[in-house]
Amino acid sequence: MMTASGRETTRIGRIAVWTLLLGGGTLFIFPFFWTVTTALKTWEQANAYPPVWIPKPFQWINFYTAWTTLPQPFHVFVVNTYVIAALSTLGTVLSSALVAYGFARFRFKGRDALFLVLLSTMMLPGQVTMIPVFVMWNKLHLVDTFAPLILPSWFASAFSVFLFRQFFMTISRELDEAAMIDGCSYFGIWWRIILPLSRPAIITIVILSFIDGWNDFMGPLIYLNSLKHYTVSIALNMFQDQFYTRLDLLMAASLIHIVPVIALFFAAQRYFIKGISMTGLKG
Amino acid sequence: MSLALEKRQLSTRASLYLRTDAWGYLFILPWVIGFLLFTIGPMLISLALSFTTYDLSEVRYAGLHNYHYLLGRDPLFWKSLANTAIYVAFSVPLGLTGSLLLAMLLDTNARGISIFRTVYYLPSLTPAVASSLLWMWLLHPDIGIINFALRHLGVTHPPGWLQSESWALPSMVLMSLWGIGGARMIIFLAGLQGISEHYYEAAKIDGANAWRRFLHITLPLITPVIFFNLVLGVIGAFQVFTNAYIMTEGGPNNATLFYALYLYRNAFVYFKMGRASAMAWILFAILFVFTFIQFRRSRRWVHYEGGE
Amino acid sequence: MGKVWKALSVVLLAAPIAWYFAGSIPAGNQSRKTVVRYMAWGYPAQLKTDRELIKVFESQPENSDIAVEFIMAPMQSYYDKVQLMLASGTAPDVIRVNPDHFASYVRLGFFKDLEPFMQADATYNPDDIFKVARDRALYKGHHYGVGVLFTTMLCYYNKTLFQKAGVKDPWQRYEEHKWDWDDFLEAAKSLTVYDSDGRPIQYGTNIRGGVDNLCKFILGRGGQLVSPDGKLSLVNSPIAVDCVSWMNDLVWKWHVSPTLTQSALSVFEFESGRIAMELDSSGESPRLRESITSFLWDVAPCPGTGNGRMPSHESHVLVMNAAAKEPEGAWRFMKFMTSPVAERILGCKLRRCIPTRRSVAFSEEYLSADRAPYNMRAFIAGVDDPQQQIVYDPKWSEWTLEWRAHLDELFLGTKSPRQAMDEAAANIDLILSGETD
Repeated sequence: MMTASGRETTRIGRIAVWTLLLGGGTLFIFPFFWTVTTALKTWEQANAYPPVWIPKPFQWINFYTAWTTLPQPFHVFVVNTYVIAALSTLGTVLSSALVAYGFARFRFKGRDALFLVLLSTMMLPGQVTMIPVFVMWNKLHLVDTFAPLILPSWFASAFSVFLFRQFFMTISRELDEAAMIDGCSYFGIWWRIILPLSRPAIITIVILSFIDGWNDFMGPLIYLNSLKHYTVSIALNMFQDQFYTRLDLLMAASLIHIVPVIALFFAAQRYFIKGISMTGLKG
Repeated sequence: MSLALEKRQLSTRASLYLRTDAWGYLFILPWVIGFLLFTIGPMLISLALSFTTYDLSEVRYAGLHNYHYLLGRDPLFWKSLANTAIYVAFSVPLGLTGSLLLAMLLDTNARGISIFRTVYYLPSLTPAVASSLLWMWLLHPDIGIINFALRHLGVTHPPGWLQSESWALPSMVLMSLWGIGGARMIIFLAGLQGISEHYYEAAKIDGANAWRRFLHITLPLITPVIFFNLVLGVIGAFQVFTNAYIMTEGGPNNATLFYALYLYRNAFVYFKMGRASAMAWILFAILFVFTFIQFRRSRRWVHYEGGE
Repeated sequence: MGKVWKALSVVLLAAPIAWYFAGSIPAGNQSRKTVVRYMAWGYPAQLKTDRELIKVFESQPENSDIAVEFIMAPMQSYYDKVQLMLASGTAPDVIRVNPDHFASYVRLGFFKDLEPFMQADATYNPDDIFKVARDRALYKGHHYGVGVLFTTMLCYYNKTLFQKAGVKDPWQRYEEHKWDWDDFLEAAKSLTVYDSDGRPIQYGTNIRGGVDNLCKFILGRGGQLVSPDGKLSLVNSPIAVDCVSWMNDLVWKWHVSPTLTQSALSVFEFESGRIAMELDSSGESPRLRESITSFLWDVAPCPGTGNGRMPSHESHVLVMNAAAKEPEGAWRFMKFMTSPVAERILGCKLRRCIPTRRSVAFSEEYLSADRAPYNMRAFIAGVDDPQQQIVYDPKWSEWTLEWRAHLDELFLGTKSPRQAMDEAAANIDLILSGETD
């Protein structure tokens, strides 16, 4: 087994690592375990003390209740959330990678100052710009559509630009220069050299961006008015209005919310394979 | 090599640097357009508002009054700033170290590692609604699991956690730790994976041990990512809001009144939008100065293979 | 094979997006109806009724030219959204707000004066509406809204527990005119049971430290919260301190209520069957009706008689946006929502709230119930008595939050009532005098 320091560990080293991972893993999975088991409990069991560890029988009906209680069938919310998350992820990845390329590879006047400006957009708490931003979208007649939630991502996100920039700057310039000599355009270098070498970064942004879009609450709350446009996070909140004392149902509803992203995350792991991407030229 | 070929190569190199200006601007254009369209207007408006009293219906010019009040006469301003600063001072270093360690442990191709990575990431995936309920449950002084366990271990008076004035803030820091398997860790992981095996092999051949390999190869090569997580970690931690909003409402007795929560209150509960805008820009100033300093200092410790 | 998987996954990823856009091609504005936008909160069951009511309204022949667009938001963030919409000029025509926000927003000029509509409309009959409900919508002597979601404070009690203890329950005491705060305390003491380990099995009651309830308690006892000129806080006045101490004693002296800590996280909710009596809003009864299955329960008016009674009735307000696009249509909708037809559906059929109209509230249909709670008369007990209502002054939000911080210290047992309230009053005075502006 190869670790970060790149050498086969000793038996003891391996045992130590796996023990740590298992120990920490139990700790970290415990709350999730609790969520799942509580979702399968009856209400009395959920409130019991001393705590009920594993309920018998499993109340699968809780999931059904959570799914069907809202006036709109739940799958509508799921589709809405997916559309928003997927389209904004696509936009984020493409535009941020492009912009980061500009910051990472080119020297132009005001570059560092502009980069600081980019970062500074993350430093102002959103609450004070909420009203002017909302007014703007309203003037464009785009309230109660998905546009305010998707369009801005197509103009690069500061977080993603920063991340891509850091990654791009670890790629040796010699590759660029070799490509240029072969007649590649700047755009071609970006598409054929930089991007493929940045696979871990791209996958990271895809995961983070999608999850962000999936879990976003404030955005949909502010910009969406019709029930049929609502997203899963809003539905979950409305569900909470009625069932705020029913821990079992709340946990069931929350699980419905997070299972898709867990699946996405797990599936994306196959791209986090050590040794596939190389930043060096030699070897 | 023929003279003509050399000349062509030289001119290509030269043009690489000569034409870069225009192209750089072109590539960052999407962001510039977006910034001008969506961001700068509202930012400037909020700056202007900070010099007014705006209660959602009328705007009155107030000069520096908001700033004077906050910095000079508002005990809650300083309390919320202190609470937040303490939170940042603990959660950021702890979080960074934890994430990095975790990323290193998870940086293998061993079978089943995806399961572990997912398990560690789970807490970050849970929406605030569920995770706050969960934590309130876990930290419940009477029936919560944590105190249940503590009592079994012999602690007779376990802490009151979220209900106790002295333990509420530490509870918040504790809760932030569960995010060490989250985004930060994934980013560290991506950074670690970008390090070519070749370096390690070369070092092994030179006889370097694990610790030295970490110190001289791993660490320097992931400084770009450390820098990223540090800067964004501080920016993010200073704006901590959700947990306090949902779980404690800033209490007990303002022990968890974070800066962003107090700001929200001024804006949406007291209708003091001008005051809230001033708070926002004070925070902006703090974060800007911090980030600027970090960027300057980064020249000394951050190593980019591709050069600046 | 790899290429097939790739193609398949792209299709899978893109399909929902295509489906969404296909489905959302607008059908075009088929009808040329006037659109009235209406905003309210509620959980799913409540929202269903609002939609039913809207359907009834739209099907009325005189209102067939109106289509109501219903905007709803989760309760927790409802006012964030309302505020944003009001501030940006995009608010709906008709909005439901609670008394607290009504007072704040009407002062800022966001709502329309409804007097002109009321005068001009001969079919609008406010005569049989309870004064308490009407007065809530007053601002500077004019009606700026109509009362909706009329509620009262009730004493929910667990009949099963009272039967087990062999003690008279609150309704019986009320009927016998022996239902004062001392009786309440005595009942609470009889119904607090600990097991052999000293662990509480059930509590007589559960005070929650809620500011509104505390205010009503103080007002009911004849106290005031703020001086008439609005400049001085009276939370440290003898009556107020007395009230706060009494509440606190329930927890720390007589141990008939769980501490704030213990009751955090709905462990000691009324539905859990571990609380014998709970003072709460009548708005909780629909939810309880659905969720309580393991014991018998009912309601009684709050303790206290005559002048000692809490001003228990409270009304939400349905307002018209000052910038409403369709004021005439909006008025018709508002009139409908407070008409006997709508009230019978809301109050009698759904039992979500108390009808604001006498004719409906005193009707057999409302007062007889086929499911718990059966003591419907508790809902209208004292509705015509003079009730000293909470005055939501301009600094209400700010000073009550300040008060809450000190109450925290008090209810957690770290400070004495006198001390905490004196400190609170000192800080609140600063707020009231505008020092913190």
